[in-house]
Amino acid sequence: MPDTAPDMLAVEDLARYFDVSRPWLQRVLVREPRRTLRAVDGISFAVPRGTTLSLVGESGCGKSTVARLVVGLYRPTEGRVLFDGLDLDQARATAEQRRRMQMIFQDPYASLNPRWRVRDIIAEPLRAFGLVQGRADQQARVAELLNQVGLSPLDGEKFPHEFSGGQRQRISIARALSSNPEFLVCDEPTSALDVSVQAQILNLMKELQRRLGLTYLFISHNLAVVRQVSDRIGVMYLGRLVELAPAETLFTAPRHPYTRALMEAIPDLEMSGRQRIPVGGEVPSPISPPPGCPFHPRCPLANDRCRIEPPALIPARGTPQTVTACHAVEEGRDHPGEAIPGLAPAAA
Amino acid sequence: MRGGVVDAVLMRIADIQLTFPSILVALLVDGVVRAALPREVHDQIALFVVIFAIGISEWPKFARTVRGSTLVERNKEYVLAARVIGLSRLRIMATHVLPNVLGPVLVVATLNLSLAILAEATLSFLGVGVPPTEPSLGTLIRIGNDFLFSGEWWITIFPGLALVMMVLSVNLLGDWLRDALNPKLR
Amino acid sequence: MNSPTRRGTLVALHDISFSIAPGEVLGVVGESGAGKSMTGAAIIGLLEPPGRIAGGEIRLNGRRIDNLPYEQMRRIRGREIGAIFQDPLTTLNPLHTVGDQLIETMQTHMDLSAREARARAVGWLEMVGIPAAAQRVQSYPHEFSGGMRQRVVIALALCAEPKLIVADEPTTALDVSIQAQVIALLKRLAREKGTSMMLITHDMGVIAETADRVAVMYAGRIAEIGPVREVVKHPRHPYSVGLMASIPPLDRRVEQLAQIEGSMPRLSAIPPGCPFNPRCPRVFDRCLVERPELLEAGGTRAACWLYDEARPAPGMHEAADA
Ligand SMILES: Nc1ncnc2c1ncn2[C@@H]1O[C@H](COP(=O)(O)OP(=O)(O)OP(=O)(O)O)[C@@H](O)[C@H]1O
Ligand code: SF4
Ligand code: SF4
Ligand SMILES: [Mg+2]
Repeated sequence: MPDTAPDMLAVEDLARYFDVSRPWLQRVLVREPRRTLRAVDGISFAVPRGTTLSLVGESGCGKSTVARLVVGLYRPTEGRVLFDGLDLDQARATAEQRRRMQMIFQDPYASLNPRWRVRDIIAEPLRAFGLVQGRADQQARVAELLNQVGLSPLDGEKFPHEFSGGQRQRISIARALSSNPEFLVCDEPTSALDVSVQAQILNLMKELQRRLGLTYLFISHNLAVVRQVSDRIGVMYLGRLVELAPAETLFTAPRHPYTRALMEAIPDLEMSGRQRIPVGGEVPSPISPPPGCPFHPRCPLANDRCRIEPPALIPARGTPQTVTACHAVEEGRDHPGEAIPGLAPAAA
Repeated sequence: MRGGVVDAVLMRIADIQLTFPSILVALLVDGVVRAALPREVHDQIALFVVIFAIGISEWPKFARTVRGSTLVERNKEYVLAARVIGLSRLRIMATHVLPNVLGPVLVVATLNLSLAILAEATLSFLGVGVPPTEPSLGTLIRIGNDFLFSGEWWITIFPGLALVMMVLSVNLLGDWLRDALNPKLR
Repeated sequence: MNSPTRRGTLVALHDISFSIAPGEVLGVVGESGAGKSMTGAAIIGLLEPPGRIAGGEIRLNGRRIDNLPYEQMRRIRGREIGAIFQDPLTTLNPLHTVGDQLIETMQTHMDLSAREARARAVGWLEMVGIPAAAQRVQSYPHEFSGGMRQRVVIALALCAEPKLIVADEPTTALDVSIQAQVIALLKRLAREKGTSMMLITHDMGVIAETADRVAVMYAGRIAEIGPVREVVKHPRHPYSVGLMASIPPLDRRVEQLAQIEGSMPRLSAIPPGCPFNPRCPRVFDRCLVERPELLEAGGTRAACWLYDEARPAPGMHEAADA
């Protein structure tokens, strides 16, 4: 690669644990030890400039925690976050640097202060970063931003509750764009929206990326959505990355048994009559994750090694652009492309 | 995590205090101050002692309300958005959290303002509030009480009515204020 | 169905007519605010006051149930109509074991001895795939995970063997992998027990998997109703067309997703004529004044003037080619 500029974002062995012990007195009374929840447990990835990396996974697997670590809302327990080659603390030291990263949230009803007018919401970063001189300048910039996300400048006078979910999400995007960021962290930006509105927002985000050259860290639990926006995709399970691959490769040749199970589980709109095979079991608690490979209690390919030794994230046999953490893939006993025989429902 | 200890200690104190009737706490505070200060000093600052005593007796309700609402608001995504920008804690507190916490506090405040008026009246009625030389509804009612059966019922009734009206109007004012501050109802 | 609000009477649902055959799953889809849940609530007889049914009737096995007094309706709920809601925690009583809740429901509606009821409770837990059911009957709801709780709710809705189940977003709160398990379960039980089901969801994938017929709702009306295959693969109503097209496909990447411009009107501000007319790409003059009824649209029925054979819309033959 001729381009030697550092990746927009690099995450190295990032981990974040939460102390979820009960209050001291209760702990002493019921003689319970401290309990640690490993929300994110040692993950690494990089997002090159101008591209989109998506993280997918089921509820509680740690996606939002990664997003918050990346923008500095949480401090890592271990590992580090590099933004444009700089350690996050340095990269967020000055206002001029902080303005380069912004975040879009999931809940369009909680992400806007209900007591502020839309124009003030959008102008907040402008004022905080000193990006405008005087009221007229600010007004013009807010109008421009509202136009950019498909709203009318007149909407600036209204309060958030006067808008629908999709329109609020547009306001969130306008606020995020106001500081001319290069990097946007989007934590489930369309999960709370109806499909037809979701399409509007996804199209808007893609268009903005093309026009402004933005880099996205995109978080979602919806594989179909992720396919539309991503260059690369990471699949998370219980705080770890189990597979990381170019978007097309992940869909044409998923390798990790969990990825394959997830794809199997998605309702089939094509109605090919294919009988879906649900993944059995449930996601274990991140407070006491299973030893070895965290997926082994649900994995049809699990063997004794899986129950003891945690697999490392390494290039997969056959599809080396994919890295995956699975002993079966490493040992070549995963039969990619075929249905996994025992991926049977625990229920039915 | 910072402030966790302060929080724990304050809230436990509040819990304990909430198990006593607040008028008892006010009486206690008033009594302590009375005992500690010479008579003439006390008479001079009696009004402030009453204010202080009532304030102390009512604070746990406010503390709990503010704490509860703040815990809810500060984890909302609009606060996170402000933190991502890198605004200082103080600024976030003043511009985002405080205005949104104000609503519930206002409700508690108007309810308690009327309670405070009643508490003052009660203290004065019991003869421990402001000295009889200073005007107070409670003192008036107490004095009137002595004449109640000798035909001068109006000495008690009118301050009593004034008290009721005051309490009612403060409650109404609170309702109105809360609605006026809510952008959704504008 | 009318629902009076502070601003006067708000007609939230309008002339919704459909039927569900024994053993059939009718899917109801639509965006938030389209009136899906209200339709379900009306059937179970749980419309939130001041909402009320202002017209029309609901029949269960030919018997009219919308005008029954509360006590009678309460008996029908549970015995003849089961309900499953989105949030399993609000349906289960945290203070009783799941076994007791199952037993109580069964004994309220059926003539069972305590021992029989207990045996059946275990049987139901097994049926919905709770491992070690014999022990788990004694567990409290909070001891189950979200997916297991939803299964308990399903067991609870089914245990009195109702003839109709109204399931409002039964899988929305669940993870994809758990969702699939629950859908498979519902489908199997409906088939085995011959139970009719009304499945309300915004997730087209779930509908495609589970339903036999589907009703697409828009602004408190049925926009289109028909066999699921027809509606999903060849939608007729312009709104259904837009809705299907805006679903991101799993099997390919598209540069620009089809989108419906604008947003659904509030129920208090539905435009005259066809409620979809401000957003409809094929709107024509008649749509602005006349409100379309459900019309035969070749395979499905759609509330759209494009399908009025008596008065064909201008340019209709081109559409037929497309
Ligand atoms: N501040 C916190 N304190 C304690 N535990 C936390 C905290 N934040 C997250 N967790 C826990 O960490 C785990 C991962 O949470 P996270 O929000 O990152 O998941 P997620 O993948 O975003 O899930 P979802 O799809 O539901 O948003 C969960 O088990 C959650 O309960
Ligand atoms: S490491 Fe073993 S248990 Fe884990 S996913 Fe691979 S085969 Fe399954
Ligand atoms: S009736 Fe007219 S506006 Fe309504 S959906 Fe049909 S073509 Fe569109
Ligand atoms: Mg999340």
